[in-house]
Amino acid sequence: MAGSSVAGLIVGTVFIVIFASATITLIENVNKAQEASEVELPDPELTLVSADWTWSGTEGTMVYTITNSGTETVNIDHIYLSKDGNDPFSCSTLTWDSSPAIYIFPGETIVATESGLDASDDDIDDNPQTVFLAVFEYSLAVSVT
Amino acid sequence: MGDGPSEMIMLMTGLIVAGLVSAVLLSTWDTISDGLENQGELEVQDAKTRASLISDPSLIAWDNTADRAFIYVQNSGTISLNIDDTYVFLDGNPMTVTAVDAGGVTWSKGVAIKFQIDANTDLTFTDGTECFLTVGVSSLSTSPTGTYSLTEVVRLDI
Repeated sequence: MAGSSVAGLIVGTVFIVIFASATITLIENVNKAQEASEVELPDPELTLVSADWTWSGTEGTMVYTITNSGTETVNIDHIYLSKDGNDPFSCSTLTWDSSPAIYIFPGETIVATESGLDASDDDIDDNPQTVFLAVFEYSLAVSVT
Repeated sequence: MGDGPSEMIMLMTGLIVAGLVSAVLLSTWDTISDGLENQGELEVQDAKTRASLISDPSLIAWDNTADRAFIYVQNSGTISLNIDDTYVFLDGNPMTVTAVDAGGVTWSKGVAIKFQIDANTDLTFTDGTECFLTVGVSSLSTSPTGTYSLTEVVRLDI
């Protein structure tokens, strides 16, 4: 009888220890799950108000008007534009109407100019029709006016 | 007194059995606990791992002769990615992926990388073909490794 009593005591104690460990692990995992759901990914929202193309006779110029219509400040380094499916380029390579233009704050509208397009008359960048803007998981396209 | 040896045997037997049962239970629980902990860390790492296609999906230039295209992908997560672990499927076909002008394997947040994607077999598309492009990325950190894949419909420009 004493043997089974001691055995029961040991196994019972182990069960209690495991139950306590399970509770602690459960709390830790709930916290981990909460941490995973609380990861804040960049969520910018921009509006490419217009993309205006002009041709001077020797070279083209594109003027982009971009508004930060979201709630996050956006680094212009992270904004990419492409014309008619050509290679995207960072907005930081453009000439901005304010200097230094590193960030676009919520509600702010910035005008950027890309000049010297098709200066060599090689049909590259010639009279683009569409501009595609992408920043992180947000993207949009507008027709060139 | 006559019950002494019998009681002692029962006690020892009980202790041995209890010890074995306890060892099995604790070992099993330890394994379960480790699995749950690793799963939690993996979920956090996966949540931080993101990438997005920044090439215009309506105009992805495809070269039928070289069976090649170039795409730009941006690290849109919150941790660095491993450039060398990027994989791409175009229309269900596995592609050989080569990062162009990438210095090293570290792919920082917000940075866009140009990838050359070459088909392993002859792939001929007609102009305007719409198909699925899948891009998979992995985190630079390997403890644990976060993964993410995106699938977008793209229109090929031949």
